[in-house]
Amino acid sequence: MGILLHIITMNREFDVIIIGGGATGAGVARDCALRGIKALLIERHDIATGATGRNHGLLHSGARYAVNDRESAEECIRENMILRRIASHCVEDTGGIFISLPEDGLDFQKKFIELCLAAGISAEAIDPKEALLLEPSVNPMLIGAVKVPDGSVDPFRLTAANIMDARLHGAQVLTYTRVDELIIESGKVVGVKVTDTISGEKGEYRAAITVNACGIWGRDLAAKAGVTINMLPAKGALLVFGHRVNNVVINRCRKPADADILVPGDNITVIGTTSSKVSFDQCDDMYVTREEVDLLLREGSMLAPALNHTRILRAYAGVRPLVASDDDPSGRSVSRGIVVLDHATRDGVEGFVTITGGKLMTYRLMAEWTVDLICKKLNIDKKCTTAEALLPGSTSTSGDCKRTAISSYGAKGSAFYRHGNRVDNIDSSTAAKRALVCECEQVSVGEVEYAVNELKVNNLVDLRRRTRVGMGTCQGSLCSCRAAAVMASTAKMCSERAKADLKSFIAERWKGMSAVAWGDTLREGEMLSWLYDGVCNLSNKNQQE
Amino acid sequence: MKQYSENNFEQCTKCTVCTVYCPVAAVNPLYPGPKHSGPDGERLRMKNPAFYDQSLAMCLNCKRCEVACPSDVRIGDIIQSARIKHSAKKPGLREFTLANTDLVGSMATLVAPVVNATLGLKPVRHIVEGVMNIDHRRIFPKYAFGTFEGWMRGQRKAQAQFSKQIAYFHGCYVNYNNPPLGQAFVKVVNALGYGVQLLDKEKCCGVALISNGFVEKAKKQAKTNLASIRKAVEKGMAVVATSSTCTFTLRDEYEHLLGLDNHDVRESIDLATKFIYNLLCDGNHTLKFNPEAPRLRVAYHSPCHLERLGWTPYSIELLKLIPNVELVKLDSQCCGIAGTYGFKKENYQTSQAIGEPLFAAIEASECDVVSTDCETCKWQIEMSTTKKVLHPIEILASFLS
Amino acid sequence: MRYDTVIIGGGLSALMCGIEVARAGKRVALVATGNSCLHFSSCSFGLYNAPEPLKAIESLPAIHPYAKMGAEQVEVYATRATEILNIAGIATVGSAEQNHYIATPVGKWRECWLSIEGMLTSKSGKDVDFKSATILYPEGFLDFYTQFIVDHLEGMGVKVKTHAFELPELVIRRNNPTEMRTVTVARALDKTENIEALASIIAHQSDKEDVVLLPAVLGFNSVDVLSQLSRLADRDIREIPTLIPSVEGVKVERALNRAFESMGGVIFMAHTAVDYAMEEGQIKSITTSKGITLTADDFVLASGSFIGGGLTAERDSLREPIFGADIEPVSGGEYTTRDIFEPQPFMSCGVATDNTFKVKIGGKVVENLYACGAVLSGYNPVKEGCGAGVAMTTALKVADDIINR
Repeated sequence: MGILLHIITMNREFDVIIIGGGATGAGVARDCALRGIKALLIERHDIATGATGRNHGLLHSGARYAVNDRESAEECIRENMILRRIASHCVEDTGGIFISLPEDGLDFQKKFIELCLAAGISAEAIDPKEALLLEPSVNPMLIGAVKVPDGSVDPFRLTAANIMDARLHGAQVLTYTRVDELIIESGKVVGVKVTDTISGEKGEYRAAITVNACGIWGRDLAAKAGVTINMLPAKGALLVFGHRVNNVVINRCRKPADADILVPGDNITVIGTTSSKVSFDQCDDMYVTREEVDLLLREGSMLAPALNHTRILRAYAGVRPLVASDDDPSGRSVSRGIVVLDHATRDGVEGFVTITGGKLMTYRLMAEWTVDLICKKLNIDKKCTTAEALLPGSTSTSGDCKRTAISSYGAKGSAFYRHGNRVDNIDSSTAAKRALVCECEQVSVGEVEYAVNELKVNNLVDLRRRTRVGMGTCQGSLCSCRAAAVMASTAKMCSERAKADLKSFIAERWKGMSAVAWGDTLREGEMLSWLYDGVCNLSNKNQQE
Repeated sequence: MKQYSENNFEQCTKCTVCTVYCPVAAVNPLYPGPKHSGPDGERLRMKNPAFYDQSLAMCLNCKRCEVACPSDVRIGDIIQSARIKHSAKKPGLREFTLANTDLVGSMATLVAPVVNATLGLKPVRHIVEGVMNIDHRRIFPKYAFGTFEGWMRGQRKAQAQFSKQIAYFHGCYVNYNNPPLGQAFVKVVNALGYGVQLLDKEKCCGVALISNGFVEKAKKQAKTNLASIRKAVEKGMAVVATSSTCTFTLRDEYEHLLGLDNHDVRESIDLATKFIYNLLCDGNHTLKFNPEAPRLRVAYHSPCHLERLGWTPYSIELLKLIPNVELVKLDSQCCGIAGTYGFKKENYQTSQAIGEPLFAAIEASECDVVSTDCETCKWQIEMSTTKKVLHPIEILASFLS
Repeated sequence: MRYDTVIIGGGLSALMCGIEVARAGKRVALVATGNSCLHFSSCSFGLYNAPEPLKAIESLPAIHPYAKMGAEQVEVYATRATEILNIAGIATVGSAEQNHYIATPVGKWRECWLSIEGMLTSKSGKDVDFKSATILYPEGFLDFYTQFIVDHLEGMGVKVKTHAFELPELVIRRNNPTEMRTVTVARALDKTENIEALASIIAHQSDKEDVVLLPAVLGFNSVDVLSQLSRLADRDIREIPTLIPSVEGVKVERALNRAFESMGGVIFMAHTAVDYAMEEGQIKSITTSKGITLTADDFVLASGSFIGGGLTAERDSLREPIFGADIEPVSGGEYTTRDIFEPQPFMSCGVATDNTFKVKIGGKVVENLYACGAVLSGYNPVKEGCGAGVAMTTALKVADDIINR
């Protein structure tokens, strides 16, 4: 222990410590690393577990904000174009339409197009018939439609790619590490005290600046520095449908409201979101209510009637970190824009910066602003290059995903969707590596090994975020045992831990299914229970043991 | 009736039972099985049609997967539809010859002795293999001299005397290869008090056209057939077929794979064994059997498409009604021929391997004769075992006094 | 078509009932949507999770199917079920007096009443009857993780060796990324040349005193692969359950199908019962998805739970889709809980019956409609480990009543 600790201690001085492994934190780490700033990212769970991984995965064109929030709209379209370039493997250019239904009328559409164009968003009115041709699942009652450059973006891949690039450029990343305390010396934040949540080991890290990128949990972190940030947790619930209902993003052309965006992402479609205030103690255990499911289905089927008879795989919810404006102590006036707080000037606490507000779409811009501030504070003169430098996986769009042999295209093609041109790092040289673990999402043994070895995977839920194992129709009933086995043997995990992990993975899958457990979803759930609680006896019902 | 939605593939719980019973997956190591080609693949193809996979062509459309599925997923239809929708490969001369059973048949029957002799000759069969990629080991069904339709023309008056009438969809096989089966059918139906008519215009049902990729032509023929069937139904006649595959195609594939609306006549399209069994059970019809007929041990093989129709019990119960017939029901499994599939050179080995357990069971059954409702099963079994194969109607007819 | 008895369902319960009624000389038809949940079973049958299941059954609540029959009758039918399995050619070990334990695919023990002969079992659930073992598994087979089994056995003091074996046929199969599943391996191991090859691998890789353990992939078409292999290799070989589809389940279903058909029963395969007709308060006929109407004196609802389609869950209620039979407990509340390893309320929902399993529709008992197996209410098959026991004993009870009516 002594020697080990010594080695780690030698690496405990950084320029910047970033707390929070969502898209924003990952973006800040990457931006720091590209500018040569020595950065450490600390995340208490896995990457992309908070709001980052719990939204639509919509690559906003900005059109949604064009009418009410010109600034956000302009940010979105700029970042949209940047992400298509730097994160091509995380983005799918589906295109989007804003449809007007009879009850919406066409007045809003006129203003909408005008303001989109003013914000630099291409917006073209098309005939309802053309809209139906473009996207056959759209509600045939529509009276008008506008084409915009929406798309879909996979937040897990995007965050993982930023983390990977940050590490490639020298940043260090610690997941499953909880920040217990900020170290404050003479009114200045100089580092953090942490606990490794897997081993229980404690440690300290020091840096000139600590960045709070904790999303809604940032309020608690700020409190550790004696700083108050007024935040309002806003819950947004979403439903995942079993397959791609639509291939083009469908939005409602009206004042933004609940459940009016339908996004195709990889092999599924997502409807969302609701919006409701929740208390801070609910943020760690989000559960979608019956009323939310009803609302999502009711409104969703207005966009695409097929949703009424499509299998719902699961329901999930995220918490948006809405920040009350500093000049409004009542907390009623909320900003959806980017909020960078230099606590030195705001609160007199040196070495501490909070980045919050914003949205997944603007994660890069948020990081840029944050690192610009860091540079200023550290007297570093380096320009941001994250808008130009391509992310790993997106450095070439070809990849080696030709049809090499019968039935391998599916797996290769799917892996290319997930890893971009880094698909070449997946070992598919032997039959054993090409064998499929997850048939719904076409995840091979080689891909699982790649994820375990190179993408910082600690458990099956992490593995799912990197590979889509268990995210398909069967929600893990057929594949999770295989995945557990491949992971355990690759990561040299002991059987007891692997079995406990398998059990918590099954529990996590069911949690999302139980809110929508009727029809075929309940049948799948019965099979899940039958296999893992029954046949495998994972919960150990015997009195003997 | 259960309504099938476009999302039918979503009823799949991924239990993989279909793959357990897929005859192709059993013998062809390249075929990923119906679950993966069907519902799994369908989901991927919705994302991107590029996920279409050439292995879909390995499916022989036997629909055993659909019979096995506990969730009522139309797996075989999903696979065949995807093939029709996405396959870029154009069918060639061989597919043309195998698929156009009526055109080729009508040319062949004119010169049947020559054709039979030529197709029987080894060198010719090798040429057939070389030019058309039809396996040289394959024994072609013999073509009859003179068609069933020709025979029926001489029957017009006699048939018209019956007060009740049905229309007979004889199919290409009865017309060109086995008119005696049609004659047996007429004999049985006459004995029950029904006269038999032909349809105004009967084209091949199109099953071979569909599986060989000639979908447009299949549609055209299907439309002709449906028009003729409609006319017959309007006159109050049932349309009865002896071939289980023709019946299945007319009733189910027209709608599921060709997208044609046949719901107005679907319930009037019947299978010979079912039609006759139902008549015998209604209390008003009886058949007189020859009490002196010798005992016959019959092994019944249930064809894939009859299993999919769900009507196997009718053929079995009908055979059980015949005194002196001792019935053995063979385990339900595919014989491997699957229409024209087994004729193709690349499929020959697969086809024979699929049928192997069935052939062994037939030889072990100690039966005098095998019975089945499907003509292609008959070819396959006769070629691969020592037994002769008869249609249940032929057996029934031979036992009548 | 007319039969004496029509049974809706094609699984363990339907087949048990069908065999029993057909062997009493009645004309019986079975209506099955597809192959059954036996394919998801684990090569073992549970009666009730308790060291002495028959004793435990005596104190069950009145709503439980066992309580409806009474412990004495459960014992009678449990014994008869074992006999019928034997008649169908399925050899089992175990007794209803005392449970034994079968290994699970993830290296745990699970209580059971009967297990198929040749499986890795334990009397106590704490130890095994051997000191050293060699585990052999097909290279690249993902539905069986050897390390789980190794750690489990080593925890009980067994010395364990492992060996991944290859066979030329499986090497070819493995080139297809979806092929290395139970049934593919089982089909390969049906062939004499592969049995011989595996026997010599076993003999070579294991010591004489070792017990040899294999995943349960022996015998898809032929039943005696295990005995052939044991003889040729001269070893004590036992099998360990795998993930699904279960080869043992395939075998059990096929054996029961054959037994049923050989007794004159007819199976309407790929038919789903969709409608029914009533006359004077009794069921007169049912109609299937293939448009066939089946008339009978007695009808048995053995259509299974949700997976089997015997019950359906809608947004706000649970239904029995054919007859609209009454559901117990009355639906409307939440029928799931968030923790999958806690008892799920939907598992114990099912059709309401009287004490002789006659189905209630609209509060009234229908005299000629019986229910048996997973469609019944009042028990949790997973938590109580009694799915197979309830399926078979209720089926035989219903069969008895039909025969004696």
